[in-house]
Amino acid sequence: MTMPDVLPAPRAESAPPSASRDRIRIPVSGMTCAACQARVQRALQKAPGVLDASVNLMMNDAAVTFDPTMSSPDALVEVIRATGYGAALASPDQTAFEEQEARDRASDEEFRDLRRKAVVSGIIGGIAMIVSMPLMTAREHVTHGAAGDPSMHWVMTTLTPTLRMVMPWAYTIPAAAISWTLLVVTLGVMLWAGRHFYTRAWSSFRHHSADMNTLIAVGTGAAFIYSVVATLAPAFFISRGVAPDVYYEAVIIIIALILTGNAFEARAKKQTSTALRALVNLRPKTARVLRGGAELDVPVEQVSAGETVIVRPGERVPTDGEITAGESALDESMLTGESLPVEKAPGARVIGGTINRTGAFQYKATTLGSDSVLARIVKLMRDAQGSRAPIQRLADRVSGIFVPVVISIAIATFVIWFIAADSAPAVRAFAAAVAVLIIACPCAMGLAVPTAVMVSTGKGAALGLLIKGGEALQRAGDITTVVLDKTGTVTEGRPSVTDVVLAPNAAGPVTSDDVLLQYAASLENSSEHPLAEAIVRRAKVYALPLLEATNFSALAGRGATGRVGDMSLAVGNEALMRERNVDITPLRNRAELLAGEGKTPMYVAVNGTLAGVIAVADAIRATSRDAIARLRGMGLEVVMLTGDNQRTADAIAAQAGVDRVVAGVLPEGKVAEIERLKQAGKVVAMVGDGINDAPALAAADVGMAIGTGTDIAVEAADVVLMRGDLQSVAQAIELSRRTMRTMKQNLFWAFIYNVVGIPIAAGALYPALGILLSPILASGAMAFSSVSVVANSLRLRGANIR
Amino acid sequence: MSATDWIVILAGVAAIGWVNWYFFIAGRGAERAEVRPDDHA
Repeated sequence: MTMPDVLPAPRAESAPPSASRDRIRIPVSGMTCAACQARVQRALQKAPGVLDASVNLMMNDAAVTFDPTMSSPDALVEVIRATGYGAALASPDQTAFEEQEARDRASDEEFRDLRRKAVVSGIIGGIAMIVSMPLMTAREHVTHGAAGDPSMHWVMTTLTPTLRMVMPWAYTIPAAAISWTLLVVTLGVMLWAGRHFYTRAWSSFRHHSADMNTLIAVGTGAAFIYSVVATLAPAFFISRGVAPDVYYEAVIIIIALILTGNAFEARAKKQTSTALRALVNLRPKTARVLRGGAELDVPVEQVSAGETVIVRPGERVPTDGEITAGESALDESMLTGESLPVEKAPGARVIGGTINRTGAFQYKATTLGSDSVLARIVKLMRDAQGSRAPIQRLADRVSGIFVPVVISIAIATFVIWFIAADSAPAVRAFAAAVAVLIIACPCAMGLAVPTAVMVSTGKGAALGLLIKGGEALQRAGDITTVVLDKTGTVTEGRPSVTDVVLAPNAAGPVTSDDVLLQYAASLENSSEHPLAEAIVRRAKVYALPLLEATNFSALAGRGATGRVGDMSLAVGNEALMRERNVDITPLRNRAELLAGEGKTPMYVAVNGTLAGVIAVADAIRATSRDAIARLRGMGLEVVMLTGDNQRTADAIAAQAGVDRVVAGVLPEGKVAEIERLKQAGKVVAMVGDGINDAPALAAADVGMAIGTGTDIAVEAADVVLMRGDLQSVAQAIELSRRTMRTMKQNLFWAFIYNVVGIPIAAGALYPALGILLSPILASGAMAFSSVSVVANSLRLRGANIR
Repeated sequence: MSATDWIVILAGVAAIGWVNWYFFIAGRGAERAEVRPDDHA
């Protein structure tokens, strides 16, 4: 088996589960938090004809299953736009590469736009703050309102005296002139840089929902309206003993800080998909093809299947294909994590994106475009990175009820301050309520899980582990028992014939070892089983001509039957012989001896009579013993399942260091064993590679397929181990454990941040310590919390997993 | 407590009540109204 077998045949993105169902992925722009995501998802789920909708914040897209007779992609785009977010349909012809490139361009653009707005409003906010200093000083004389806020304290004690010295003229400008100027400037910043906060908040309000935009809009909107009233009618305030304070500079700086936080987030989100981008960048742009006897450099999209492509040393292989001439060693590490180059000769398959190290060769292009191995890996990874871990539901539930609760707390804060404050109650009440609204944006909660999933799946890819989603990632961390298939998993999966034994009373056509081998190989030539391949290989080595086999039938877990010439043949284990009423007594002892040496004896029956035994041994993978010891060292129970007989299995288990073996099991038996373990309360990972492992891979809590195995096994698995190496199992479990730890840390800090931040913003520390938080400090803290969660997830990239 | 304080308390309680009614109760009612009967089939 070679690398192109690593992934299942491409599944159509829009593969309809039934005639009246379609599935589509729609890129969504402008979502910033879990509440945004929940809102778009709810709107889609409620839309006519939608059967299921799942929106992903990190991938910025919506996966929708709908009834095409009741809805259409355009209608779904309109539903998303009506919620206040952007949506556009991807071109149906786009490959996974082009789609990813388009996404990267869009996220680049989003980052640049946010950065521009953050920088400009930050500069304006800084100037506004300096210009409004004289107003603050005047206000401080009247109220002493914000002295409890450390930032205001610094402004009053340090900044104001300096400014008075540097720009005394500023303190001679009439307060009204400053206020009016700030009003105009603030309105401009709100409409240009902060408009999306207000439009989205309004749009979600109309749908009876609230998100972080609601908090920002209500917080800054309230501060702005209060300031406008104070600017237009200062006498109204003064007559009631309240200073006509304005908060224009606070509004601008809050918007600037939140945009800064969003820009950092956008950049960090981009970094979390670095691994995916690296895969996309593997794709060469051009290929050198042989057309009409001449070598031509053409864009890779113009290469057609069957065309001959030429690759020189140091170049990347442009497309998937099969070598027709020349030999070389190829570096496949970017796809498999395997650092050693792989030797390739004519007939071997090559994968687009890998690097040709030594020799030049020609190959015939096979799978191209969206069907290529690399495109399928990119697609699989994108789907995985966009998938949701079950722990995410906790964050979703909390953020759904969070915003209305925070608004209620802000109102209560206002009321309590208004009643309890001994001076300037309205000003203090107002500042505290706005600080509560601003500090409570649930962005960090929305980012806690998806950022960890993205970084972790990217890290997995670098290690040669394709993890098919957040759910698999989470479950892999809870594994208690690892069940290993023997052939191709613990062992190399490339067995070779060690013994050919003729039955003592063999009669009829089977007259020698070579004839026995020739007949068995002729039948097994139709099989894909590794044991069958070993027999065929040996026959070819001995140059035995293979005869035509008919009525071939592969019997999972037992062997194969069919006809060769006019003879009826059965090659397989004791169970098959029993089934066919073949007496194996003459060779039973010999077979048991062979099994005791770790070899797999296969009985050969011709016309219902035992003709001999062919023993095949499959060497243990060099890394299996260490890997199994490592798994046991991680506190995991390791079980080996095999269709082989007990003696062979015991011999292999002893060599590999496995302490529990279940031998002689058919594929159904493997499933039953896994179910039994699960019922005993174990969280089971099944590791396998063959067709016969697929049901067990699907039945296990986490199915892990050896990437060099069959398509069906890879399809059924949750994790694909691109390197045929059991160390990858330990790596996958370790990565998952670390990821879960990161997710829990993120959620803990996001929750704690709000649990601690909201009471401080509300002024809980004021009675005891005299500490208050201005809305400006609150917005800085809010931005910091989101960035810290993303930074914590990014730490996974540097995790030392060997 | 002054009359203003009482007004602020009553207004605050009413505002909190309205916020919770609007987002939690009215929102769900609106959602139910938008789901057509044949969706449950």
